[in-house]
Amino acid sequence: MNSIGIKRCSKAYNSLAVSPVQVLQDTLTAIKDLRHLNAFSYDITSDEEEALELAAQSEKRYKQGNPLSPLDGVPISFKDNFLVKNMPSTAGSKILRDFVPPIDSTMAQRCREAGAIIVGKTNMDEFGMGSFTLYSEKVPVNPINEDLVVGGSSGGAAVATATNQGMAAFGTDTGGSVTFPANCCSVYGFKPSYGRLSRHGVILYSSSNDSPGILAQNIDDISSIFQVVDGEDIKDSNSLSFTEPELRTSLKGVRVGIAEEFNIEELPQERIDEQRKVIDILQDHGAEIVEVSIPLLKQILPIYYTIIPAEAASNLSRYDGLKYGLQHSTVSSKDSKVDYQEYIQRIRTEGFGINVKRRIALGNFVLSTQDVDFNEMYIKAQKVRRLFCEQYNDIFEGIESSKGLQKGVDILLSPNAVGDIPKVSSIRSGEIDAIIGEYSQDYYTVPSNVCGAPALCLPMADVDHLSQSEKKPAAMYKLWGKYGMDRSLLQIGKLIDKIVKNS
Amino acid sequence: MFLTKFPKKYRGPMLARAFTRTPEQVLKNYKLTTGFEIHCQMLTETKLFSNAPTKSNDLSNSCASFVDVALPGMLPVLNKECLKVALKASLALKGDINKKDGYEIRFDRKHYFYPDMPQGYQITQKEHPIMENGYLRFYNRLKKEDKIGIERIQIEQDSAKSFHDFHNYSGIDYNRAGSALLEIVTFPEIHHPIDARIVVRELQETLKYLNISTANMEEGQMRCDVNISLRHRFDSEKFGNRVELKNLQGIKFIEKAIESEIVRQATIIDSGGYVPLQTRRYDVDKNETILLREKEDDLDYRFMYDPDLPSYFITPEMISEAEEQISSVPFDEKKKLSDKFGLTVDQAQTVFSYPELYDYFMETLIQLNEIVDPQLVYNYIFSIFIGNCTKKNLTNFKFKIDQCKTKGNDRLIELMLLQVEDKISFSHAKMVLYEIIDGDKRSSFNIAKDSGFIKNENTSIEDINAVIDKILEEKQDIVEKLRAENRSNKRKKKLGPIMFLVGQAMRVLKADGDPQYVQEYIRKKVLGK
Repeated sequence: MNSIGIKRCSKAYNSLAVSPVQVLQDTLTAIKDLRHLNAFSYDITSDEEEALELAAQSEKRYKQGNPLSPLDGVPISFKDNFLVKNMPSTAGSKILRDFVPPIDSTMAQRCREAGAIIVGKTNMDEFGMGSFTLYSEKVPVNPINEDLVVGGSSGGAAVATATNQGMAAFGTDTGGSVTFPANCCSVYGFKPSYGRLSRHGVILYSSSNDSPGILAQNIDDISSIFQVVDGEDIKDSNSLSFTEPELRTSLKGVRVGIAEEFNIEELPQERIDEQRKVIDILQDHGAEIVEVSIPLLKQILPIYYTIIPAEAASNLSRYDGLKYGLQHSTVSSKDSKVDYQEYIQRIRTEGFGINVKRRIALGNFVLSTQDVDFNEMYIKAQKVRRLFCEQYNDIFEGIESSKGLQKGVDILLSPNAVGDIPKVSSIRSGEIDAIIGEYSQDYYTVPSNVCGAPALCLPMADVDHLSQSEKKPAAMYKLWGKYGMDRSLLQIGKLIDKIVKNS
Repeated sequence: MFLTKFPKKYRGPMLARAFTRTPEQVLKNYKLTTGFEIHCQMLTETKLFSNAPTKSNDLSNSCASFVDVALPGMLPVLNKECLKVALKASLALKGDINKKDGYEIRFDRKHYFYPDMPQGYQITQKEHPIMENGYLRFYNRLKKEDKIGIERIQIEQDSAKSFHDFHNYSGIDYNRAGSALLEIVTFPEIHHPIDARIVVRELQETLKYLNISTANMEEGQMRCDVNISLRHRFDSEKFGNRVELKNLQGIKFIEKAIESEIVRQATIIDSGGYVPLQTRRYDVDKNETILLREKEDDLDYRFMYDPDLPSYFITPEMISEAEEQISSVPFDEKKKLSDKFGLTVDQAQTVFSYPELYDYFMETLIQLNEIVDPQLVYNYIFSIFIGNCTKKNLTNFKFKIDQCKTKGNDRLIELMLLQVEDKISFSHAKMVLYEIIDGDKRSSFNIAKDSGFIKNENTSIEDINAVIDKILEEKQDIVEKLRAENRSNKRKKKLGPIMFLVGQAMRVLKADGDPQYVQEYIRKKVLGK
């Protein structure tokens, strides 16, 4: 089945050329047929009735000419760390085994209210900690080339999106967890500004970096979804509403920044060539290429890897096996009476996987003040983070320096990933160090999380994911937006995407 | 004090014990230093970060939201009401409202695993608390104005409650989890157990008076930890480390707990022992403190700012709004009662021990200003009214005082005015008040009139004296008995003879007589005093 995309689908629904019930049935068929790709941790194929009923209601609304939104009747999926009422929501962890939330996350709720139909929960690295979705009970398979990783931590979401198991997918992004899997599976990935999409009902890992994100097969679809879920939520104190200036209609005069810090030794020639190609096309269409510098960009990985384990250790301390998830009876106990400390020790030892344990240990070390004031390290990281935000913002706002006034840029352009997409076999065999490999992959993705700015990852060519004989993923590039200017970024992204793909 | 000149080893433990028998003796030799950490539940409808009602006594787990039980994905949302209440406390205790950071406050996470801490951390304030460097004024044990510094006030979450009375299991009630607490930390500036009690009581009164907390210690709405250390007044080598007494159960135990702890510490120090940093609790029944844990075992709380909560800014509007609600604190009121109305510090304190009557008392004072002596008003309400109600086991004073009012007539005021206008004697007035307390619905004047308590306007003091003189003449035998009784060496003299004479005079005088005056007159006349 070829994807028609939300925009076209919506048109077809409106003209009654296609029915939401039919689209849902096609989607469910795809889910059944592609089970070997392990996109889902849970899907509704075992209990289709309710969803089909929702689709029927949607169809009725279209017939009456009053659909709820452009998402009405559109099947979508959620990453397993979103609470979706009555569907298991485990964040890919054994410690939340069989946890079925009694409420929806704000993202799920807003989608439902807009008429979207949730078809399942996608596989992910446990609690979002990972870049390849290898820390998942079932490892998703890259539909383009089964030997390549799917990226992570929203790996299942990328696979589902790439293979029409739902028209779009919600992922979460902590340091590239949406954009990197989008990169690996050649789909579009969008990480909005921090606070623009509510985190209420998202099983958090690093509270100050985590943001819901959207994966889809084109930018219009991302925009349609974004429009529905965008905006302040009283249940998330860090969420905000933004107003944006009028959107651009052409690339003429758009200032595209290239930071000198983007040019690193590790960048292979192939990436440089791809970048060159995009730059040339942009210049041909009247965009202005501006060289800028964000000196702290090079310090961001250590800052990030100081902050996230600390927040992870803290956020995951609520999992003690007392209230939900893995419980006493499932923990082997030799003696009948187990004291509290012993109990949670057993639960957490059994419930958490290796990468999660690694980050909790690291986080507690960072926050510890037992012997030395290690806590200082964490505080220092926060300070550098603030400085970086200022530097990043200055690039967009424009700054007055000794060289005179430098006008701000509209977007930044960079590669999305440093090297080639790693092979599952190389990681499994130890040829690539999974841990270090993961960390360094994040060079271009992490800064957007650290400063809370929006990021968009785009393929340079269309890829027919399943029937591709070359098994070659598309070249990708990343656009960096100004904090709070998400719709502007999506609009410029759309203009660029059109000319890049047509060239 | 020559003993202190000798090296330690010459001092025997027996001798040492002789010096530390009572708290008074300890305080003679040692300087006590105490400070307090007080937690109180804020009076707000809903919890600090969730919209669950603050009703910890409702059916178990009926007042716990998904945020309170730390369901995955739930985020804290600050209840702005708590900020207002905390701001009131901060202003009442005269602190800097974190002006150094432009009125910015933040929340931090304090991590430890405990069954009644569902998030695995408590949200509290470490780096940017709502208030620092305040003070609380009070009248100390010598009735002098005094003050104690407040180091900081922080807003934080309360824990759930554990119950261990299930077979092999513990139960957890999350109703209290996430309720808003204020933690008030004082500087260690108190040096006497009585002052310690006074300070905590003053703070409690302030919190109650300003509707910050119901601050009931017995019900756990206010919890008090006391830090205690001793230093010998003359021997710099003799001192103990700070010991923290956790969770004292009531104001009345503060003094006792400190006394028992200083005797324990002084005994150890005097015998050459070492007082380590410890956390202890006070056992009310045994009147002794019991070790809970050594300070070395304290956890590493791994403090971290809470990334789920933004900074909050206290605006000048919020401050002026709060200021409007705290025009005075109990200390100001006590000072006014003492300076302006001439009550003693103890009387002013008594007024504050009955908060339910406070408004009534103040209104009456102002209404009767310059007509009735404040002392008399105080006497009517706090000795006669309270005394008689208490005797009759009528503890709802507010209800009873309201009953004194019928059809817009405050019969208590009516009665005071009758006395001031010399229409009724104090003794008879009391009896009228007792009738009212018993439920009599008539006006004070009518009760007095019907009981024959109203004085005859035409009776002069000379007429009264003449009546008494006549009784004394007629009852010579009793007068002699009175004289004999007075001459005897008995410590407690019999009151029979004089009361008989008073009774005889009153029978004639009726309302015109004041038994107190009659008694005084007889004493003067017969005994010359």
